[in-house]
Amino acid sequence: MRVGTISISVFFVLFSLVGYFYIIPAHIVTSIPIDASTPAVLHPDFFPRYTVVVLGLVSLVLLFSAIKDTSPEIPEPDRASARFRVGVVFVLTYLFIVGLKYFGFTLVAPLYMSVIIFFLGVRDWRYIISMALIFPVALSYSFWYSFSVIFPEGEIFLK
Amino acid sequence: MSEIRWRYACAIVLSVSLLLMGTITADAAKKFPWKPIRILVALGAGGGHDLNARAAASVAYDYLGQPMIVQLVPGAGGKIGMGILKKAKADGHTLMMASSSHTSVAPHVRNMGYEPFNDFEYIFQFTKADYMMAAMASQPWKNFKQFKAFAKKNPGKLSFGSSGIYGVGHLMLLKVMADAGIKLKHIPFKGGGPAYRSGLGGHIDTFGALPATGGTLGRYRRGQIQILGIASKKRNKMFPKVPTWRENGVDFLLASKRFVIGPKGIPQENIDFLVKGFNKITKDKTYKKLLKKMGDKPSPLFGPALKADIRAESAAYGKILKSVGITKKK
Amino acid sequence: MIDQILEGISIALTWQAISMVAVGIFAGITVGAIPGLSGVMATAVLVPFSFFMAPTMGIPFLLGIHKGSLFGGSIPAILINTPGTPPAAATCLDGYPLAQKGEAKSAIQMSLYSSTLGDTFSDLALILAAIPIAALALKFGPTEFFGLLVMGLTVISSVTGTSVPKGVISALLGLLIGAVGLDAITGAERFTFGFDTLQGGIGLVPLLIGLFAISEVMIQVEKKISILSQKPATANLKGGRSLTMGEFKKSRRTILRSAIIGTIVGAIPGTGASIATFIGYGAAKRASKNPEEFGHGSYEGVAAAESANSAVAGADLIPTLTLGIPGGGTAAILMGAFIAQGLRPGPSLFEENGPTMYAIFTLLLIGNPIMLLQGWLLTPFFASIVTIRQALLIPCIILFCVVGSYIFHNNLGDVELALVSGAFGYVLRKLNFPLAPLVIAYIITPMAERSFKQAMLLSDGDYSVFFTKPISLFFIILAAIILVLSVWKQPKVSAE
Repeated sequence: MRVGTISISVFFVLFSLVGYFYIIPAHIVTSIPIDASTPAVLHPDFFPRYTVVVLGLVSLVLLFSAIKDTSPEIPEPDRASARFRVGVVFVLTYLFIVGLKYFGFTLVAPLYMSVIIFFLGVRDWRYIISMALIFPVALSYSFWYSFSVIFPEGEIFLK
Repeated sequence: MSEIRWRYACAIVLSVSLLLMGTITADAAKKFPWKPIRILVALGAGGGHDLNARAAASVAYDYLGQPMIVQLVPGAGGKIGMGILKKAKADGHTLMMASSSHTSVAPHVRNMGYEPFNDFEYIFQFTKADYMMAAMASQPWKNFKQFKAFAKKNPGKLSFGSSGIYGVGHLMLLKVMADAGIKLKHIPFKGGGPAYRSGLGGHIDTFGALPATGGTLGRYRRGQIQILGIASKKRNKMFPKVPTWRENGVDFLLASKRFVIGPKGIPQENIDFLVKGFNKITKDKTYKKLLKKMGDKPSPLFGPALKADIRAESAAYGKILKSVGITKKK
Repeated sequence: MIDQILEGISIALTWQAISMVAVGIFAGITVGAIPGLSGVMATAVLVPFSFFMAPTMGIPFLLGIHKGSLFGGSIPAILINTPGTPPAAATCLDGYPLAQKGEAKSAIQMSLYSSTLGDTFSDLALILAAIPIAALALKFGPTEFFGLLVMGLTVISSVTGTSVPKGVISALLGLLIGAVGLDAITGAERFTFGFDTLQGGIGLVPLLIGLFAISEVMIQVEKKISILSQKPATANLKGGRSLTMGEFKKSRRTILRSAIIGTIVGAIPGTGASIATFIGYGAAKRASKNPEEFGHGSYEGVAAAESANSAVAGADLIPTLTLGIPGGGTAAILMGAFIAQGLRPGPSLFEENGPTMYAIFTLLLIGNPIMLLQGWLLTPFFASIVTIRQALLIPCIILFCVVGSYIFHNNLGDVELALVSGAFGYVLRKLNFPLAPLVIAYIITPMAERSFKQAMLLSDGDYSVFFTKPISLFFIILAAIILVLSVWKQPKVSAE
């Protein structure tokens, strides 16, 4: 965790610099020109600017305290495969969202469910099928029935 | 192992094909409407447009033959919702309960991605409520004339709380200041509610109000608040002593309107069907009861008259905004 | 005011409302009973469901989940020595040894009774506290609001956990996240990078679903596949006996003490059920006649833990509803639900929505006997829930998260937001950054900034208004006191 804390503090320090000098001036867009007489406090960039400055300073404090920290690390067993699993689930979920946009919920959700259940270790296909089919269908039907809510329908079907 | 995998594969293929068949519907020549009608609301939950749409939707099935479903699509000041409406199939199944701020105000200020009068059909107006400027009765001035005199002697001292930048309240303030020649402080709030409450607490001098919401009628009758002007052509029967803005010398008309629009290109017979159905809804007892609970009453308007009305207000607001230097950027 | 109370009660006493509370409690106990699903997560995921119900049903539904999960978490704690929700950790200490002795059923019953009583106590406290504060509502103008919100922000300093810099950074991040969107005073677009979805700011619901639910799922996914796909071994309910009146009576004082502690701790914004539980447990042990039994199967221990953590359920809402400052993670989520229903938590909540709030209070109280009933009848069912494999649950949870963030605004962009904040939350949690400051800062800062600017506009740039107006001054002094106390109590983080 020490390495992690150090890297994230460095990240925040850099982020504050980039934020202060680039993001804040470039990405705050005003549509009515602001009266020159309004005090600086009322400008939209006031609070973000000072927040980012404080963020940079506190991240520096964190950085130094992390470097000085010599307490023993708690070993995390099996880290690489744990991170791998997390990464795969993220990617699959993102693909699920993309799939939702084009193909709609009824098609994509069961597919997604079956892949994830399989990935997480369940091999008995009876469980996979029943969970993957019944659960999404039950969910979307109950939403439609009780709340009149429609799940994503998929762009290729709507035009 | 391969036996199981084979069965697994078959099951998946079978279910997928079943689902696929279910979702692709053949749009053969059917009578309109043949599926539920979606009514979008590009504003937040619990607001006037949301509630009005739901009130209409609750009785719509009997008059339209299909259920009407309310879908909230707020965001980006209406840009998201209007964008969805614009891209929707123009068959009359996707409509929107629109707001004047989206059709008549926002396009003057920013590029919204649509042309309000070229991209949409104007179908039916359900209700409208005229906007008012209110103040606590305890103030030293008791009508607009006295208020104007006080403001002239003390420029920049009195405050007006609006529902937000470029909102209807802000517009009213700009026009009042311009036509009456006075200067007031503009305090934007997030929504009309907080501004109203701040006014009741005496923290701001004037605020926007509608006849129905916030208990305005009750407070006015009890003498807790006074109303300086109402933005309608004629005086409101429930507030007979309140002068219209035009009587006060301010040329300003504004109503909070709930009207239905649809994407351009809906067949005329579908539009006529909807208009007929909506008209019947406005006469429905349950619908009228729901409106009364919200303090509204039906105010139907449709056809070319509706579009002309919205066009006129858009032009008027555009003028107000231009006069203070607000023009479209980007 | 009496007529508002009566109106509220009449709205509440309908079959639909009461059954929504019952459904919520049932869902809450079920979710609480599943290890790996915390109450916070469940509430976050189910908030969007409540949008489609009227406020008098949707909110009690969510509150039912909140209550139910605090009891439900004790079930796996007792049966398989795994807390179903973080606050149930203390219940493991005495609950599991009791189960091993074959007394699982009576342990669960003790948990049920203590939870119900603790919850009822804090609900009453909530009702009694809310009303006088509500009476002051109209006196809050922009200046006063700002003072109040500043106080809310300083409370964060007391929740930073072990590392002050990390807590502060977390709060600053929340501040920046809250700054995304349209600035209320000038209409300027901040940090939207051209994305339309961001113009309204980063949505509370997708953010919370991501930070609390999705990140939690990711942490669970780290477990070995062999753990995820196998059923956990569970102690048996069979053969147990019911709790006797005598045993219950012995723990009376413990339950009351824990209820009080839970209510006070829960009412402090930023603290959560976990802290309350351990304080309650510790206090009970010190005050007990048989302290050596604690940790080896003492009914008093179970009672102390469960009463405290359930008391937080009502107390959490005290600062949330009356001041608009979230009492804890779940409270922050509930606040989002209130706002989405058009109810604005804060001093003006009762002014605007009197009958609705009284209806909600009534349903809160009714929920307690309902929970008791469900606990009595359904314990075997809940016990079996404990054994569902995580590999099957996790995809369901993710589906709920996706659906929940979608139906918020019918916008898939929100789901992407939820996924991104899930990744963000995951990283922060792995590195031990506390999430509470982030959420509190995110909610409070936009309001604070707006009030500040409004006050400045009204006073024509005069800063002294904050110190001359009495209510504002009061809160600022309070804020200063809180800051001083927390710095004083914190062991100094040596950076030399």
